Parts: sequence; C-alpha cells; structure tokens
Amino acid sequence: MDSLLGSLRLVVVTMLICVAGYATVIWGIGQILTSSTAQGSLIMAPDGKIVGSRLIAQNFTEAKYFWPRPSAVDYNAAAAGGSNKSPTSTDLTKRAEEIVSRYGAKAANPLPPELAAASGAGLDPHISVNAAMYQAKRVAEARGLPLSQVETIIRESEFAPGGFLTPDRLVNVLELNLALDRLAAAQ
Amino acid sequence: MEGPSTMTFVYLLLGIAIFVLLYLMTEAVDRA
Amino acid sequence: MVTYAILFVIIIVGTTIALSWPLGNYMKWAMDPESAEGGAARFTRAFRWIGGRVTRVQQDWKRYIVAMLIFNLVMFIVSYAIMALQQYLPLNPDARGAISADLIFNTASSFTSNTNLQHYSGEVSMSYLSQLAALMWLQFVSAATGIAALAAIARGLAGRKDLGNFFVDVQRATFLVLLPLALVVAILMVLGGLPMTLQGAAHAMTLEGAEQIIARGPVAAFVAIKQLGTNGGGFFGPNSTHPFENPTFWTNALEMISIILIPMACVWMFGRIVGRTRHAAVVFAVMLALVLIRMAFAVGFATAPTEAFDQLPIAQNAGNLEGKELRFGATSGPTWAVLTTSTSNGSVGAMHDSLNPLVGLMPMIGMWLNEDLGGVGVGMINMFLYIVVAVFIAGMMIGRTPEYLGWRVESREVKFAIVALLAHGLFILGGTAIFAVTPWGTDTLNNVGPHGFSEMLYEFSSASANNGSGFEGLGDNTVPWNVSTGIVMLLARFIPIILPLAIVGSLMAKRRTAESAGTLGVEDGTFAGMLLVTIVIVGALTFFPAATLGPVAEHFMYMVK
Repeated sequence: MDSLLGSLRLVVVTMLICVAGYATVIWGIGQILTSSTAQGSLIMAPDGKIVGSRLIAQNFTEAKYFWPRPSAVDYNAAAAGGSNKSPTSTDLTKRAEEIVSRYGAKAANPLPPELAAASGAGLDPHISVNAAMYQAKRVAEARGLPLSQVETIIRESEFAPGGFLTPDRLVNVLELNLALDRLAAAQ
Repeated sequence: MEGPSTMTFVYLLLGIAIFVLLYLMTEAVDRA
Repeated sequence: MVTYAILFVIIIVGTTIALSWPLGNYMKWAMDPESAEGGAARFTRAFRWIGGRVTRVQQDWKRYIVAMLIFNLVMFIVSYAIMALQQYLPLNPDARGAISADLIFNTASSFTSNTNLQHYSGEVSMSYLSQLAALMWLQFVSAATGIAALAAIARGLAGRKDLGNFFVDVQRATFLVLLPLALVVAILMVLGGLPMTLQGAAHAMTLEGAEQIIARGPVAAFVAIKQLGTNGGGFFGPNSTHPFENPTFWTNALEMISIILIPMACVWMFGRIVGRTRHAAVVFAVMLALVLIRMAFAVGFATAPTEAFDQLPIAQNAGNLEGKELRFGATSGPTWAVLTTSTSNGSVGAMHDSLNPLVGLMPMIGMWLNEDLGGVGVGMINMFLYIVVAVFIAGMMIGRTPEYLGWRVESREVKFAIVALLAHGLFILGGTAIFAVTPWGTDTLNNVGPHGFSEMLYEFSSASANNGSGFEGLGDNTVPWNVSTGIVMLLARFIPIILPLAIVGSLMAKRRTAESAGTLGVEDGTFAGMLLVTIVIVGALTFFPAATLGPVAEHFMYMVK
C-alpha cells in the first residue's frame, strides 16, 4: 500500500542523509580539524608504538608511578563500566579496605576519596591535585628525587577542568607519569 | 559464524504482533 | 560544593531556556508552515516528492496513527534485520559476532520507541554499521516521530480541519529540526575531543608493559543525536561517563544542554501552533518547577559521602564519588540524572546504581511523572493528558463545563486520558511485582536488600517512561528482561500517543466554543497550581508505596544514624 511504499522511500532517504551523509561530514571535519583527537587522543612512544590514550586511564601499580582511581573493570578499555554497587554496599567497604592498606592510609592521614571510589566508566584518567600530593612522597622515594621536585611537576600539570566553575584542580595520571619518565630518561 | 536462528524469526514476529496489537487498539478506541 | 552546583544548574538550565525560545519559533516554522509559498513550502514539495502518493492525503487522527504505526514497524524491522545480520555486513573492523535473538528484539524495540534502553554494551557487542545504520538511524527517526505527533495534536487543538500528514511531518522533523542541530552539536563534539573514526580498536602497550585495547569509533556523530533526540543510548556501555563520549567539563555542559533543549522548545512550538503562548509559558513553568525541585533534592542528598567508607580512614569531604567522573565537577552526576529523567533521554553522567539512595529516587520520580519536560514531542503530549484530567477535575469541582482551549472535555476524553496514565503505572508496578517475586528478577540483582528492589523498579520505570537509563548493576541481558521490557517499551511508547490523538480527534468532532468570562482560564496561577497538584497526586498515589520499598527504605536503613 501507499503507506508501506512511502515508509520504504523514507527509510532510504533518511539512511542516505542522516546516516551516510551526516556521519561522513562529521568524519571529514574530524579528520581535517582534529585528527589526533578524532583517532582517540592516542599517545605514542618515540618509537611510534601506542602507549595509551590521553583520555583513558591505564593501570599503574609500581611505587615509582602515580596510581589512578580504582577501576571496576580493571582498566579494560574495550569493555568499560562502573561497579554499580550501592554506596551502602559492603562490597565497596571490602574493596576500600584493600586500597587503604595498599596506600598505608591512617586516620591521621586519610585517603583522598576518589582514590577509593571507582569511576563511572572505570577509565577516569584524572586524580585531584590532593590525591597526587598524597602519593608524591612514595613516588619521590622510589625515583630518588627530592619531594619538592615531584611536587613542582604536579603543580605544572594541574588544571581546572571547568575554569572558574570547578574549584578543584586535577592532574592527568598518564601524562604525569610520562613527564616523570622523560625526566628520568634525560638524567 | 552463527547465523539467524529460529528464535530470531520468532522475536521478529513478536515485534510485528505488538504493532498489530497497537493497530487493533486504535480500531477499538475508534469504536469506543 | 553546593554553591558551585547551584551556579552550574543556573547556567545550564538558564542557557537552554534562552536557546529554546527561538528554537521553538523555528520549529513552528519548520513543522507547521503557514504560507503555501516561501521557504517552508519548498520543503513540503520536496517531502511530498520523496514520500510519494501517501503524502498527498490529509490525515485525520486515525489515519495519522496508522501511518505512524506502519512507519515505526518498518523502522523496527529494518533495524532488526541489520542487527541480526551484522556479522555478515561491512563496517565491522573489530569483528563483532552474532547478537542473541532476544537482545535484538529488545534493542530494536528500545531504539524504535526512542527509549534506548541498552541491555548490551556498545563497544562489546555492536559493529560500527549496527551502531550507525540501525541505532543512530533510529535515533533520528524515532525522535522525529515524537515531534510529528506533537505537531499533529497541536494542529487539532488549534482547530484545523485535519492533523496534517505523518510522512511529511516526520521528514520535517528529521531534516529541518534534528539534522541541522545534530550537525552543529556533532561538530562541537568533534572539536571538544570526541573520537570520530572508522578504524577499529587501538592496541596500546602501557607504561608498565600491559596490553590495553582501546575501543573507539564514530562517537561524535552518535552522541550528538543521542542527546538531542532524547534518545540516550550511548556508543559505549558506560554512556557519558566514558571519556570518549564526554572528555571534558565543556562537552559535559554541552551534552546537558542538548538533553533538555528540544523538549523545552517543543512546549513553545506547541504554544505557537495552538496560538496560546501564555498558556505554553504556564505549562513550561510547571514543568520547570518540578525539575528544579527534584534537582534541589538530588544535589542536597548527593553531598552525603559514600556510606560504605564510613569507618575507614578516607576523607569524606567530596560527597559520594563512586561511579562518578572527576572532570565534570562533584555534583554533575546528580544534576545530569535529574535532567536525563526529566526528559526521556536516559543517558547518564554518573552510574545511577551508585547514587545515594534518595538521590536515586529523583530520577525515578522524573520517570514516573514522565512529563516534566519529557521526551521530544511526547513530553508535551503527556502533559496534555494531565491537562485534560486537571481541567476535568477543576470543572467538576466548581460545577462548570470542563473546557480546554475552547473544546468541551467530556467523559470520553477523560477516560482515554486516565487509561493512558494508568497504563504507565500498570506496566511499572505490575512488571516490578512479577520480577520481584520470581527468579526472573531476584537472580539478576547486583545489590542486596532494598537497593536490589530499586534496581528492578527502576528498570520497569525506565522502560515504561521510554527513558533508557538504568541501575546498571542489574543483570538485564536475560530473556525475561529482554522480552518483558521490549514489550513494555513499545506499548508504553504508542499507547500514550494513540490515546491523546484519539482525544484530539474526539474533541475536533465537537463545536468549538469561544472563551467567555465563565471559562476556566489556562493561563493563570490557579491553573498552574491545579495542574501541579494533579500531576503530583496521580504520580504520588500511584508510586509512593513502591518508593518506600526501595529508595526510602534504603535511606532509613543505612543513611540515617
């Protein structure tokens, strides 16, 4: 009937314009204007291998690196997700106890909250400046650097994500660790 | 590679059935 | 923290209100061109040419609905076929395999109904072709369906001879409204750092020597229409908490604006078509009041820190950060949660399952009421149902003939309205009840106790409200969940479109009366109050008991010392 035919004609035209056309235009603009972020903000090592993405957290466990926020998917960037646990859940308490002992946090020196709380997608690349400073001593000792130098590197990397609308400053963990490695390589 | 199974067609029919049901509802409302 | 939250809300909501006004005017021009000449008429000719013979018919309410059902059935079948065959089709660089049949059914129902409930994770299960040609395509045409339906209802109430033509309207909405806006937003998204590539996943070797496979794709284009069309389905599983869907504070703000922009503009479009802008403003104010009240509660309750960390040496100065991303600011998650469930969007900027108990209640209330802004087009349509009921009750209370915009509202119309509103409650409460007492639900929970109940209640609320967000800990990729929510999403989408169109058809058959001194006004504070009370009572009476079993119980059990 007419309605069926009309529907099919609409399907074809909307597919052509809203899917093929629209996606191509946006893809083209991305490739021309912002090709590095369009490909995923990848960070390359000097030898051309991909080290990670600036936007995606990766796991760090060695003492000489800053550690990111916990990830409920173990930093799996091909299957991201959160814990989806209720904030009253004992599963969260158990996980937090393990993290507290790993950081050696005490009541006199409490852990910054985001280091115990998993992010929404498990790939949050940032931690707050407080959380970075909290880890600075461990990182400095592991690398044999003066604490003040590590703190300076943190300060140089910090940014306010939303300008004046966000009072808390953040640092990108991967970029921070890359800066430290570059420093070590230069020495 | 796995292909469409019988259930694929069953669920497709289920979807179609729901639209048929909605059409019947429209007719019923018209006569109400 | 609260001052920044308030400032943020004012900026986001205020900016969008300012943008929605001219957009509403534009939408009136695009959807309901008055002159037979001029720019809009050229488009009408083009749309008639594309749609063929069927576009020359001026449709009454029933023909309009049948046209809508036929087109939406075709939408369902086409997307179903693409997903069922994705493993054989091109644009699949990461070699995604077959999708299970019940999941295809659920996803096709979900995106056809503008819900975008996702019982799958995009980067795990879908090929790029499925994401673009099945899902993103549906995001355009399902949103267009809603806008078209609203335009038709408005025309009827304005006293026209007929409701127009669905096939012309859906093209107007797609090509003149959604596509231009999507282009603008997608370009801004690309500039904001969202990926837009057809290459497969990137393989990285981390600094500590581990392999990390980084999924990416044509994200920017997808996210733009996902937000603008109150769709909400994400390219990736974690939706807009994923750094690729939402890399910065600014993309976050832009996405939040996009969530509420067209739903707001729809109210103005409605007002312009019926010729009653003051009335539209009153309706808008009622919607806004409901949104802001829920926002205030959400932000307030969100300041309580993560209860599970209470006895541990963890600083408790930043609220509950579980399931949240740092770059958005501390209260963005709850703010987004309120906006996404005011509309029928359903995208998330924080994991709802990890929100504090009474914060999680706010999205639920938004979905139960389903019209404080609501979905594109259908939000205002749902509000129309409440208006019919409110006007009827008001008329009965003071012994006057109930009347809306000059049309007499009689028992037939009110019956249709009540059925539509009760269907929503039936789907939510009935579905939750069945799943709460059978392994269908109880075997799939991620949290124990009242929070588990909340997970199920939320799921059916989301399906019936065509929202699509979820307490994502729920193991909902099972046959019972897929089939039940799939059915609910389709029925709950179209019943509240069929019945209002039938109401308008019924009203149009009567003689329209001029307004007199005795008419109950719909442009003053009394009407606003009446409408608000009707909405709250119908919503509260229906859903309050369920709320006590879930979020309220959890709050008193765990959060109150």
